[in-house]
Amino acid sequence: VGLVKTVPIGLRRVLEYQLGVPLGEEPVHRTLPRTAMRIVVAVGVVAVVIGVVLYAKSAVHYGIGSIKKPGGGMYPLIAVSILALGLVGMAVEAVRGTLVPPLAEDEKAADLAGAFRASAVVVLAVIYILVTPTIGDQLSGVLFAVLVLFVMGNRLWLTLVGGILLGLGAHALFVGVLALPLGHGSGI
Amino acid sequence: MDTLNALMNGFGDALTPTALAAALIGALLGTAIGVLPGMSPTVAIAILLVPSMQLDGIDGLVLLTAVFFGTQYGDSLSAILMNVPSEAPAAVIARAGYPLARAGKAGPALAIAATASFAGAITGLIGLGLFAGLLSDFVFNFGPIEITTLIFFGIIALCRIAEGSLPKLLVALGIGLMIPTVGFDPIDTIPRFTMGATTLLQGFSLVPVVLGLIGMAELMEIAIDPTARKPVKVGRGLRALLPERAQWRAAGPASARGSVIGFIFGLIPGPSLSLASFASYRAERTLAKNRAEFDRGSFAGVAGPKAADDAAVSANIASLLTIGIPFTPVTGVLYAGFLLHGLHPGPLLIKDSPDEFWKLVAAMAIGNLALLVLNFPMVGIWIQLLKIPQRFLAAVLALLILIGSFSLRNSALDMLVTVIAGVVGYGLKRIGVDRIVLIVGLLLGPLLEDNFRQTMGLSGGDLGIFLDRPISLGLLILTVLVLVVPLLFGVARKGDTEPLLELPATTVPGDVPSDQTKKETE
Repeated sequence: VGLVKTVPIGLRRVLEYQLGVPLGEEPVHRTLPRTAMRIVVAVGVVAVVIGVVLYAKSAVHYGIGSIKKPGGGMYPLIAVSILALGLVGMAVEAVRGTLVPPLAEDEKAADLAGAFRASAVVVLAVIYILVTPTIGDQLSGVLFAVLVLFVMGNRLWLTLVGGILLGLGAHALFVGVLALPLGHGSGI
Repeated sequence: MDTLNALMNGFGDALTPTALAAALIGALLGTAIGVLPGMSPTVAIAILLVPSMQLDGIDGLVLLTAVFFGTQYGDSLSAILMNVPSEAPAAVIARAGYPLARAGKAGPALAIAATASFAGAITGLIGLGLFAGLLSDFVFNFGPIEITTLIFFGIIALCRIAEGSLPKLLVALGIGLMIPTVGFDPIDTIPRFTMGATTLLQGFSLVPVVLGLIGMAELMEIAIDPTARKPVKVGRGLRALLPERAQWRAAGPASARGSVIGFIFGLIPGPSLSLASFASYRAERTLAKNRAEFDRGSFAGVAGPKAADDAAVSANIASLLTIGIPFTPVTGVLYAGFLLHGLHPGPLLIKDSPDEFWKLVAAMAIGNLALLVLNFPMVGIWIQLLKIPQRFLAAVLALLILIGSFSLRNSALDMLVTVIAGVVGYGLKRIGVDRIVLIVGLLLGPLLEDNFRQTMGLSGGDLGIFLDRPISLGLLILTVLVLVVPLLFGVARKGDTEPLLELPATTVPGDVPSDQTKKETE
């Protein structure tokens, strides 16, 4: 629930900045509710444990071998053991309440809108990677730059002009000068 | 005396307008390419291999070696100014230099980096000139046993400079060692952990992961609060850009130490550039009078690793020229360049083509001087990057990081890896896990596995073989010293509160500590 709430709040903040007027009252939740945070952490822990177990199982499958002739699974098993040991230690730290270092004042101020911006940049990056081969790097680069500038809360004129210049500039530098095959666009 | 005469003749031959122009252009192009995230020297030299053919023989090589040095400097520029390193040595420099840039000392930091870079490279070249004959014998003594011990030493030494608690360190090291296991098994060449995906057969490359762990994570931090970091004020005039006397005094000895460390490490096959920088950073931190202050940004922390990095580059080239075997991807590409230009590196090079050899050494020195001369006046231009508002910088960084990640192998998968590594890197930073440990695990992991398994095959499973070889034994003794000496010093000093593996939470690379934590550490 908390995560879903980041989207409208984040969008609202961006729009408020662009329009220069407040939209409605101050949102109730500035940070993720504690229950949502716990769910996120629990899901993360379960995912990590499953990942570690599956990795260790695969390592055993590749063959541990012997000290005279180590198999393909021995080194990965040592690596995952180091990780598992560290994770157990971190679990103890979590129980003791010393896992996460205290936040600085400026970090505490980061709210749901900030979480939205960071998530949006990540999602936009993934979309950029996926669509570039289809629509070509010029269009995808311009769209990506414009949307990131918009999400980051730049003024509208700077978002449009800067985004177009950045996208085309990146194309000129990386494709034109450095001859990188970023993707010409096969779908349109 | 013969060596000096030969070097003087080399300078005489290299001081031609074409060679000088090649050195200047190479230094400039290298710096410009190195500033771009993801653009490693390997990529830069590969791009310029064919254009360098326009120049005759040695002049083309002058261009390529100048590009090598220039790219290293360029990477440290983006590390200091934006906390976006592309390679492991620059990640160390970012740790010491980025906090300085955020504190308004970018100009002096860049000037010191440029000078240290020159000092390191020249020391390396002097070493090359003096010990060229001895180098080949030394390098040939390094087999799988010595490399395994060296990597073990590297990991332990790294743990001494790492931040965070022991469990967090183990988590970072474990992840770092696990990532390179994806792909072909180095000995049996069977695919591992690829989940049947052919794109994963080649495994993960270092550059996209480093770009994600540090650069993308930095971008996410900017996105979370773009107003937290105000554009840095940059002083006007040359005086504001140049280091003060105290800053030179801190950087000078550090450069000298880094140069020697770098040259020694640079001769060793393997990830010598990274190990050299880490070792130098470790040395500077150990020698620092106030470690808490050192962790908040340090000129010695910039100068030492930067000098070590460039001295190691010189030593890398020295190894390549004297024994003719490229041990790293970048020397592999450079080797191809040497062959393209008609120079055949190897033990006979000095005997068969002394004129070309010494001209190349002299030209590399000129190239480094060109790099210094070019970059000192350009410090004022580079630091203008700090004036860009963070809201706008985010889009610039996002594009550069993603395309930079793509550039190494022309792979969209690498871009996805960068994004995922960014999310992981941000999470790790928030809980205080040292990402440098992860990067080194990633770098050394494949070499450790390969060489350890070879050693066990050679010795029939006898671990005592590590004590039988002198270099290996020496490295093991060094490892024990690295572990024990600081503990003894800690006991002797009593007042020294530095724990074995636990450092202040404020020392996460790129962090500018809060006032509260500053007070705590003071």
